[in-house]
Amino acid sequence: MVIKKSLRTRFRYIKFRLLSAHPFHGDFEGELRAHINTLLGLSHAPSIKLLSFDSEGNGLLRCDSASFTEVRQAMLFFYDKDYRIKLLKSSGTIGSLIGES
Amino acid sequence: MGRFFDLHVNFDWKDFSLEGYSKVFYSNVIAGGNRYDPARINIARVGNQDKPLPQKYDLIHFAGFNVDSDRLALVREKGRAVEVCVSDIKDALYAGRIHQVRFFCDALRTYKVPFVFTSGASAIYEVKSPKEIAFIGEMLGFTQQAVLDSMSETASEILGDKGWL
Repeated sequence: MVIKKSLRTRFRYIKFRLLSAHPFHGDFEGELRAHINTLLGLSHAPSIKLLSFDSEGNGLLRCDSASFTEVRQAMLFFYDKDYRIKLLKSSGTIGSLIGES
Repeated sequence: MGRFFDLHVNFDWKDFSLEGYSKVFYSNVIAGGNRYDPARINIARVGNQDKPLPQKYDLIHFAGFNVDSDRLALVREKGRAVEVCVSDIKDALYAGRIHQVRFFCDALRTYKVPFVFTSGASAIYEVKSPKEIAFIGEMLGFTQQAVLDSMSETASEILGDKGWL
């Protein structure tokens, strides 16, 4: 069965950088997901997926466009004394974010 | 627009221009024994609603985002601005009191009280760029433009009153 393009889930892609005093050890995606779910509530848990995250802290996150604003705001509160997320750019197409320095 | 100021940081932040600020201020919080310091931005921290407002201050901060309409009207009459601090918003968010912040921000809009968004950062990893603060303000019902204006135009007026611009 083919789903019409207008009925498919639309995604937004968020490019970010994790600024940290120390290299991040552990499950970054799990911690970020837990943080977002804590703030937004499990009943409004957005569909998010960490597409890439390199050793320098550059990452690319995919979320559904309906919850894009909430996810972006929740990411801004993912900080503490020794790390934070800096949002670099967001787009509706992944191609416009990949390849940019 | 174009010049942004963070009127409340709690550490010596040197490379603020990397985040898009023209200048940041290590402010003096008037609470307890602290007095008005003409060389710094003075933020009157008001907690108990029964106490009167201080005589002299540049910005007023309502602790716990508790405020009544009379006080807001008084602040507006005096031509002062209210501080909305991002670090306090984070605390309220984690404490499950974000509704209190929203109520507070609704009251600011209803009574047309000037406000200034500040980061309240105590370390380099707590700072936020003006655009990031605008995203946070959007969560509280402000437009991004209103938040950016608060850090630009309203902050400029405060600095102009002190003769620093």
